[in-house]
Amino acid sequence: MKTKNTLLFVLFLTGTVIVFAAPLFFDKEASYMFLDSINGVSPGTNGHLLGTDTLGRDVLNGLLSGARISLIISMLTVCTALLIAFTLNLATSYIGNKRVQLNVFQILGFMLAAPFLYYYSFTAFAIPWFAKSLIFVGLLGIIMVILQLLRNTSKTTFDIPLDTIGLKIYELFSSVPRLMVLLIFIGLTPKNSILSISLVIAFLLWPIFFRYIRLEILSEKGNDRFTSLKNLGYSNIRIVFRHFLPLMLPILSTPIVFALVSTILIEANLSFLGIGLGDEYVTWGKLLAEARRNTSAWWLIVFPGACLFFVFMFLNHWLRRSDKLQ
Amino acid sequence: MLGFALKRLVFTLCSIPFILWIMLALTRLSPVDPVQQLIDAHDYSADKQEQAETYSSTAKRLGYNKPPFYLAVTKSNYEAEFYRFTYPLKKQFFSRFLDENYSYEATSNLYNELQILRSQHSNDVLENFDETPTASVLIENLRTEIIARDSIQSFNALTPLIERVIESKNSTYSLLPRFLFFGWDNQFHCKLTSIASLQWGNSITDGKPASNKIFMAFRITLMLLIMALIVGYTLGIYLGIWFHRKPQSIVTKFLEPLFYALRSLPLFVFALVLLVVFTTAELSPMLKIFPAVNAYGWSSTDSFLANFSKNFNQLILPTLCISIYSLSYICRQVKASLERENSALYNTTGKMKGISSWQLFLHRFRNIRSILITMIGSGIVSGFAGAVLIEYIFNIPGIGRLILDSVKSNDLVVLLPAALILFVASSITLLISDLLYRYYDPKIALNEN
Repeated sequence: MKTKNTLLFVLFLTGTVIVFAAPLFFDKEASYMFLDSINGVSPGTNGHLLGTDTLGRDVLNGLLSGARISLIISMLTVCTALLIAFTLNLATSYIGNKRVQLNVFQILGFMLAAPFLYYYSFTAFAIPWFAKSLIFVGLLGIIMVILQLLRNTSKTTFDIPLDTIGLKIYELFSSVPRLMVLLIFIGLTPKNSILSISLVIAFLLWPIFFRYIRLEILSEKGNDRFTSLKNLGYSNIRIVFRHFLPLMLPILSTPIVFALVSTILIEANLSFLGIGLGDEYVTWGKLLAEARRNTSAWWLIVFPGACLFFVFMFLNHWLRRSDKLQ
Repeated sequence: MLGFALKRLVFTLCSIPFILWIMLALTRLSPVDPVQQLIDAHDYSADKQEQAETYSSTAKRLGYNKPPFYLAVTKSNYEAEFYRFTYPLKKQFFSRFLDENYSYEATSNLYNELQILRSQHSNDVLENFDETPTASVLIENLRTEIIARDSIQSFNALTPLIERVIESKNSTYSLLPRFLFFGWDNQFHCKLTSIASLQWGNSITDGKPASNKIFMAFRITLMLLIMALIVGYTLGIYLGIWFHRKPQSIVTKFLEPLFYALRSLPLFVFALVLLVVFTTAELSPMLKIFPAVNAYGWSSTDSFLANFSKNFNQLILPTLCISIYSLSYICRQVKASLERENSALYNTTGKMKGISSWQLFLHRFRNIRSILITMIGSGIVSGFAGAVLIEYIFNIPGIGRLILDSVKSNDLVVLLPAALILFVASSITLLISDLLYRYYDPKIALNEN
């Protein structure tokens, strides 16, 4: 078992070196370097070791130069999706249905402030979106402080069911058609970069992680350990990151592995909608999707599929160690 | 328990208007103009005047000439009539000026004059003014255009109008918002009342009643979902337990990588291979087990079960496709969560007490029930609209395909009720899974009180 692990590690190391050293040997236009006038040749002909795709680009070259982009996109996407799911859970299910109580004047005050919040952060000034979101966060903080000052004005209070609201957000995202979200992104993102594509896919993928994190938070909050940690005076941040997070990893490892792999496949579908990477980039997903145009080209499915399979098996093996509780 | 369920149901009902509002806002964010899209698809004409007339009548028919919501919070130079513009180019032109604090009146004078010039002289020259990014660039372009067409007298009439627009720029406009109230006659209210009174109207693409289309699609998706869930999760949980209990057996060593290999292929490859192998007689005379895929027969007089048995044989292949594709995920999750339980201390205690390994396994299995519930619940929620590709390949008129088609053609009459039905269905699924959490995992029930 020990030698098998070492062997896998060495394999992974060589793979990484090849993938990230590839740009030293081929540049960004690498995909055009081995362009062949005969489109879609099978492996072994005209010096193409693994054949070419429908545009006449070399598959081996595409696999090597596409690996970097595919892996970077999938890592970025999964990290962002986990971050969204985790933050939303902390804001909703960790706080719970009964912890936040507002009185009548606080609720009225918030309803009065909401239109102004919307106006000053989104419509009033013609500035870039990140400046708008900064204004939004700042104004939200000011409103929070005002609401805090109003807390002693009345004794009639209402529970704010934050956990249920979080679930409703999840339901909204799982029932709004994905194509609609994608079409809106086409309108909003100015240029198709690796970052914007990762953001789009992360926006579609975060619901996968949401409910597993919620389950773990709900069940750990009922545990005696939570009460004793609270009584020891530990902060919420410490409890979540030091004590809850290690327990979540075994459950989350499966969705993480599958999200990493399916991101590579989803990315290719975005190209069909016009929000994927341009034709100058080759990715594994695009090579697989090329098979749709040329259904008899088995080499377009087998070789990228095999690469994906090896990544799958490696991730699986690597994350399996986290399945055991420490 | 009952109070919890009732509270959640009431909350779901109350959140429906809010969800509808978000969906409408999202459709307004979309870069495609729904009216123009419908006109391009059905009655396109080259004549400019005719085009504008068709546009306004179509917009009126679909209700796009109404204001979007009960009220709007805007800059102080916006007027209420701005929200009744249906022609998107006019709207863009105005909002470009208004966002940079020019006055409404001067802008509308300039726009009217431009329209007159456009109809009198040249249709194509002033066209590109609608696509310039900012108001100042637009003004510059206008000026160069005037200099270039110095010979035409009427173009000089634009110069004083442009001067007035520039003078009207006022930087103090944006400090306080303006609240515009539109009353009951708005798009949101019309949609809400028509959906709440269950009169959803006719689809704008083919004129069939929306409710018929939606319920037909929903029932077929439900059949497919039930079959795929039963097959996928029974097999998946069983195999996951097998992989966990006998990691060294040949079955595990063969099947586990096989599932991952299937998952590494795109779904359409897998589905097409299944379709070709099992339905083509010429290719594989021994394997032609399933019927060729054709239209789904559904009679409204028969019961759900009778229809189910009638369409059963056609649903076998899609079911197999979905369930085999998701097997690797289910197996791995079951195995991983059982392995997590395996390292808990009660296993050591159990071994010391001398209970059998089967009973120890049962202890572990009881602890992962809530994870299974989460997995199945998420599977149902994503399965409602998630099998779009399968529905396309096997020609199933399901709800995922219906929604995709209505998004493509901007058919809000079908899209909004269908999405709301999916919302309610997933709410009920998640409510049931939350109730099951409380039943199987007392720790969760504990922290509610």
